[in-house]
Amino acid sequence: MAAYTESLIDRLSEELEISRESFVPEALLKDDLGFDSLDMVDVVVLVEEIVGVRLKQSDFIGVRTLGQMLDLIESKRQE
Amino acid sequence: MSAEGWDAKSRGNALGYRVFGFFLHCFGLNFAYANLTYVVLYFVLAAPKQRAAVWDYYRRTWHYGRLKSIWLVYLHFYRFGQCLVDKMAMLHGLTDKFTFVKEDGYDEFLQSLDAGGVLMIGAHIGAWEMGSPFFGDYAGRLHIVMFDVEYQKIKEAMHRGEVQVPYHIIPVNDGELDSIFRISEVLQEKHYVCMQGDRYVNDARREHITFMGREADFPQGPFIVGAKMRVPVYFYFSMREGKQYRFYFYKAQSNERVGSKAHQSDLLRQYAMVLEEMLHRYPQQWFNLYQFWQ
Repeated sequence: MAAYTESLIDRLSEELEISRESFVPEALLKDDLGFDSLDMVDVVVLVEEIVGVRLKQSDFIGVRTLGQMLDLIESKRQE
Repeated sequence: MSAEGWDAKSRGNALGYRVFGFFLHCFGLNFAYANLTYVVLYFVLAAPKQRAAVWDYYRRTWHYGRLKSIWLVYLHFYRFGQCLVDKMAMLHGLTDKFTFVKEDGYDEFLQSLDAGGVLMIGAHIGAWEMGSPFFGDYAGRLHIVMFDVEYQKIKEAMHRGEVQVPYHIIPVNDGELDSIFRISEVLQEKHYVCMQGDRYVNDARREHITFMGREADFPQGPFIVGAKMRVPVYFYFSMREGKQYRFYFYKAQSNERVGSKAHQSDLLRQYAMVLEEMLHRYPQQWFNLYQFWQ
């Protein structure tokens, strides 16, 4: 797991008021974590702030779980 | 679901816009205003939900008597019609028919625009569209957030060459990610986003506050974006004073932690306060013609 992951999940949990325990790799963003379009504002802003990566909508095609989202962030970071 | 009694659609169709544009060009604004006197009467009679909402506005928000409220309901629809005529005139390029006045706060607003990345939160009062020619060179970096049904109408009219829209449009549909990402992207590109802060489409994303002494729900979306995106937030209103439009710019200030829920609520609180001030100055330019209050 990348070094920034814990920090990112802590901040998402705090900002979105979702229990920290819910953030497991297989959690579905929409159905399990309850992410809606406005929550994505937090995701985009926090990922840029913590990881230094700017996400675009096209990056999220096929991304359904937290694990997939973290893989996406890591692949963007390594670009 | 959206705010009760409001379906994100406006009256009017493509043929209506075309005919109206033709009359504006041929006979001018005063002719259009004169015709409103009976067109409005028709709408007052034929639009019972909107009429009831305006009646409620004068009777329960302003506590006016029955006779005064009857007259004000008609006048209210007439003012609404005048603003629609003005907006159509502007879209048809008749901007020289109006004068524009800038209120205090404009210089600071321009400085923020020059620095880039500004969120403007407006309301369904007056006619915000009247500001687009006034923005001049800045209009090219202005992105208006509007509901997709409205955008489709404007897009059709643009394709037919009937209207000129100097700004960009970000269409939104409830729950879709496209618009949120687009808003985020254009703000990061140091552009400006203008959205309305007084109507919600998502029941789960609304905040209950006291507004004009009554309980009402406001959307959370614009204030979440304002709190999270770390850009200056301005409340922007364009109010009609005859054939003159006065533009107001209020910069939101908050001592709450940036991005926090308290920050969002603080932005909404400030917005509601400024909006109340506008309604006290221009009570007949409140154009949420549905049951806004609980």
